[in-house]
Amino acid sequence: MKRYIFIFSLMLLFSLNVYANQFAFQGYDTASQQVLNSNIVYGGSVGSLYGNPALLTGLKNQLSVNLILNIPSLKIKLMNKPSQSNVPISIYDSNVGNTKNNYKTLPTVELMNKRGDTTVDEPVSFIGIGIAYNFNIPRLQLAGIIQLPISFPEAAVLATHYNDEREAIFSNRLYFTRFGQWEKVAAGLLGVSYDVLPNLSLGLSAQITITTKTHLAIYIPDASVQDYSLANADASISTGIRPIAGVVYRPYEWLSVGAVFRDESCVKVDGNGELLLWNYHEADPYKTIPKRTSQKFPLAISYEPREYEVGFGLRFSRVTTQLAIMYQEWPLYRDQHNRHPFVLDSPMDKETEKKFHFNSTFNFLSNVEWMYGNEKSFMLGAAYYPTPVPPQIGRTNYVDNDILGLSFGHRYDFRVFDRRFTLNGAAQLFFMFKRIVYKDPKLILDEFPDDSTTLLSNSPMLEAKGLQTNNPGFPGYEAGGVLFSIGANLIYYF
Amino acid sequence: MKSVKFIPVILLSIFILSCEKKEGVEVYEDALGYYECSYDMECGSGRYCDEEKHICTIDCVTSKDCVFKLSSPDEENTYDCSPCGRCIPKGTKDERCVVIKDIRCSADEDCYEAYKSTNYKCRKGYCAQVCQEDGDCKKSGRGFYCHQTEKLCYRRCFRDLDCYLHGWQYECILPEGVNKEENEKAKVGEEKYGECELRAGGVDYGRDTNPSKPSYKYTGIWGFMMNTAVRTLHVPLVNSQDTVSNNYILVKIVQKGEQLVFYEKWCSIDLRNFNDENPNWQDLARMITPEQYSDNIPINTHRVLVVPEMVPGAKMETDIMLEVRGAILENPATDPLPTHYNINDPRIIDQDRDGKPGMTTFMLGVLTGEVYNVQRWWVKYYINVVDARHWQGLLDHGSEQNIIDANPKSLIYDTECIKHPNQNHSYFRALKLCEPDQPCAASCADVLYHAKKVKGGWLEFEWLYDENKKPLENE
Repeated sequence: MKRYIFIFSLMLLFSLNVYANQFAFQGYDTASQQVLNSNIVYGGSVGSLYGNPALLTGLKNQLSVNLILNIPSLKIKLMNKPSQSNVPISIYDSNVGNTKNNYKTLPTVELMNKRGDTTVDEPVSFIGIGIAYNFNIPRLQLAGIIQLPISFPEAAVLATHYNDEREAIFSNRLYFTRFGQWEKVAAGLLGVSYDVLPNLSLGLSAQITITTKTHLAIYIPDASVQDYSLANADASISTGIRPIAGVVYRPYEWLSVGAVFRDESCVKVDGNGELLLWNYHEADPYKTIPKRTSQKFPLAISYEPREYEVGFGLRFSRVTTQLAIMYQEWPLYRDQHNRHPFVLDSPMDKETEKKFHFNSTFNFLSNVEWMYGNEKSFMLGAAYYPTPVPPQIGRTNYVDNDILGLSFGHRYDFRVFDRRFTLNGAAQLFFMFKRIVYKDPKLILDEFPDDSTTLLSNSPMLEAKGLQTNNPGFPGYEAGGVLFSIGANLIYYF
Repeated sequence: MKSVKFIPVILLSIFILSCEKKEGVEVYEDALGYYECSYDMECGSGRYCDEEKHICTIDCVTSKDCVFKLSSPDEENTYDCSPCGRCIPKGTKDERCVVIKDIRCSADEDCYEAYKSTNYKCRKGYCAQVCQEDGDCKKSGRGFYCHQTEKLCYRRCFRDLDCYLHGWQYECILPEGVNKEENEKAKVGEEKYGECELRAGGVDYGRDTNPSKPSYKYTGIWGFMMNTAVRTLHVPLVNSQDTVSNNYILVKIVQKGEQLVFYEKWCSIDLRNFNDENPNWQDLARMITPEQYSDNIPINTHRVLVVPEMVPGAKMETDIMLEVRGAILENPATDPLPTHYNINDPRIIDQDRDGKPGMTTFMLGVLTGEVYNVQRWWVKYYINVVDARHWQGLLDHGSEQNIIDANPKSLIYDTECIKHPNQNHSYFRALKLCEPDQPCAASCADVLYHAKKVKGGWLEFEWLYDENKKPLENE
């Protein structure tokens, strides 16, 4: 029976496994939440699938149910934009339309949405299911966990955006890059751990990532009738994994050391569209060649950087404490359109570009746990995540700042009808410090260049003098806020 | 003791506040390089000076652009676009928008008084704008350039054609020793520039002027609106495209014996797409014909061989005027036009002097880019005299056009042009601007003023010919 439960649970996990990165901050289960994911050598739970899978061997066979409620209060407040910086309607009469740049902005009054602040205050809740089972094999433990947004059966809410002036065409807002505005999708992990020696454990787990390939072939018989077209789609979904490897070495009873490696990952979407129009041909003097226009839409959602984490723990009687340092390789960051943050449509010069590379970061995570009585524990956790995002004084608007996390947790073991249970509770508070950004006008793309002339008379356009931009981040913004989270779980040991 | 409890909270708050980051330097508007102004006239044609910000700006080009002023896009548009680009309620006048041209002066103070700006100096009896480069003079109007030594805007020319834009009363005075005929044919960059100056004796009506002949009453300076509608076949995406070429022309009509000769200076060409048969039709891409195109069309001439008495209802017709643009053909009427299959065809010329072959037009819309054409076309007027100052009538015309190159190349395609089957799309109207025995100051700007700014005016564009149309009073 136990095996069936485990196998059924694994099937469920695989069938739903996509992932999001908020649990990297918060922890995948309540036990990880209690210490802000800082359990690197002690205190295993199914959440250790992410924290350090080598800790899984310390687990007993179990089934757990987790509840998490996040209450964010984050805001991006835009500074007032000088009205002269709006793009006037006469851009249509200018030679801007005949330039070789692919991107052309719209007159400000014609933008679909007015420029506005971003407020993140919608509570989000998740229900999680975790399982650990060793198949009665000594020194081995397998485990899996999945977190589902309670908006289920709306399984996923994904939205992409641009981080520069192009977003004006769409939402005309700014977005938090790393923290606070996560995709509302299911998240899950699966892993195994083995005690190679009595004092040495190895673990391996995987976040299952997916790559979606879509190909849309569209035929438009009449380009002037834009609400009629014929379309066929091919879509394929392939899975990949984000490997997480961990090790714990316990040289002394009072000292343990551990290390974890997590590869970079993201959910990839390779969109490809092929457009065929009636009576539209290649410019060939000798042959009639129908022109097929191909467009690519590469997306990379929920990027997580490659991470190297090392830490140690000390145990003194009923108190344990741990400290971990995590190195994150952010320079490889890819935004939601699968580009590096410094890759723009109208390229910057190399020297300017360097200013906008993301930086690698060292994050610090620690906790302390105090056991009192035989069944109760009390935990405190703290973590500091410096921002990888350089000053956004140029065209890009990656909104982020240093984050301080604090947590509190309590654990209570009890028995009912001779069955063992554990009840965990956790509360977390994350501060994203306020970051005020003033744009450097010299680094902002003048979307209506000063040397624009009228198509009709080749006359200079005085309204184009100076900076005109629809970049929603211009002339600046301030961002920050807090996220409060609570969680609870019940573990049944079988 | 109670206050001790708050210490951690206070410490935490201090910590959080101390972690606040400020990046960059506050942006000040005066550092953003906007062009400062005090009056609309400093901002050039179609622009106004924002009273609060003191920068040149524009809200609209046509009344359609004023939709942003409405509380809902579905509301009826109650706004017009003023000549200075302000959205104003329909039926009102933009009092701040004053278009002044050729202010007479005897000293710089007169110019300051007129423009309230030190940017104008008195030159040759007229106020001229101070400039540093040619671009500065575009505000003064079409055909103005910056004088290299005086640093004042002036009417530059290298041939008489350049001056007719300002009116038939101007002629091009070249530097001493420059041969007028040779200079006119000079390659781009090799021409010698002079200045358009008022011709002694005003407009040149020739030597055949004879007030006793019936043709005399027809002579003078006229503004023409001429619409020629064609159907272009094999256009990408849409296959067939109907277009009317809405042309404005400053015409000098002179007597030649018993006959009349029309000398036509082209002011502007506006290509308008239409589709009579499909009410849901959408304009996907349109051609813009730049001023440089019409500025380089040579003077076309028509003749009226039989001239009736000038009475309302009189009818006459011109001969056929045939013109080739963008190429020089040995036999203009019969030689095949150059094509894109041989872009090196020596018959192709850079007629509009923009460094590109043929004549350049711009495509806007779903297809965007530059298209280089050659064209052969002809036209004949059937004139109905409405009164002494107003004519109208249908046209007979034909056109053949080849795209010889384009940027991007995807805009190169082979088309075929036929006259639009609805004859009423091709017509003309003419409005007399000057009598032959009076001083004349009419220019292309006046023709375009009547065309674009006089509501219901004789030269206002209408899609179809209306033989019952009546001129406005006092027009």
